[in-house]
Amino acid sequence: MWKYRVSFAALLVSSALAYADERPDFSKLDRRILKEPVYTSPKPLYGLLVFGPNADKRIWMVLDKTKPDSSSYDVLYFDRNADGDLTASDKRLVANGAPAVFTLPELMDPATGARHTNLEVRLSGDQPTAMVSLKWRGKMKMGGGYPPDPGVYMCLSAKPETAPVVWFQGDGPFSFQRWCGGKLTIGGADDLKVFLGQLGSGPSSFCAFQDHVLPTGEGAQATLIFTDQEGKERRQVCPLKERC
Amino acid sequence: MLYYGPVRVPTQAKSGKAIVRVELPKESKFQSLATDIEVELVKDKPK
Repeated sequence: MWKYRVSFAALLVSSALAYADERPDFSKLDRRILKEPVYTSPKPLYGLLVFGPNADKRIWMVLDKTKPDSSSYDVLYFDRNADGDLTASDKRLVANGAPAVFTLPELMDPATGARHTNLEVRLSGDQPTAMVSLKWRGKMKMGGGYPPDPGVYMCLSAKPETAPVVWFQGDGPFSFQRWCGGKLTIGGADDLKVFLGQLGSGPSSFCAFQDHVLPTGEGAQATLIFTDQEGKERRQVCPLKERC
Repeated sequence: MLYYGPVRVPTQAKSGKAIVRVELPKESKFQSLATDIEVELVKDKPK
């Protein structure tokens, strides 16, 4: 039993290390904001979008209010040119109606110069939660702010240091996030559902393709790595070819 | 959009934690980083 525990722990650690080598280290992300406006709300809320293969080009977004006592956030400061200065007049977006939706017709990728279109920051609920979406290179829709289970989507933070980070990187390589976790039955064949996109940092920060980027007939591949009754590691490959 | 399919758990599997490693097939024109998802294997699911 102890041997099984050690070997399984080693597998988890080695997997995590291998994975860590390939992904940007979000813990080292520069979270400074060069210049901020005077906010109206006593509690502005911060979120961070990052771009590029190294996730090092940053676009801050900060939710604010038109009146200090407003019940909902209806202003968004959005650092559209990624220079760290949120005080320029064209970076202040005001929502029309409720729930608040902020839009930009086009956004230049600060890492590659590619043109993304239909940027939208949509708020829901009282907390509020936020979903950030755009059409990657004007073609494939991506959305950031997904939790691993239905429930609370991305919540912005009262401090830049703890702001959730969404990584928009539609050119890959891609990662996955499970949707609707649950136990798998031994001897059974339960469905496993995954999003395709990029892992961010912080709760509910996965950025997923909302269009099918993979060609018809192509899916992901899942390999179940488990131990048998004798403690030996076994693998079972299962294609994930269905889509919805 | 979601990709999904049945994950068959052999009867000789031991109950407890396991890993599902998800990636794109090697023949895909897209690249992926293998993503390890921790799962729990159980003999019978609670109803």
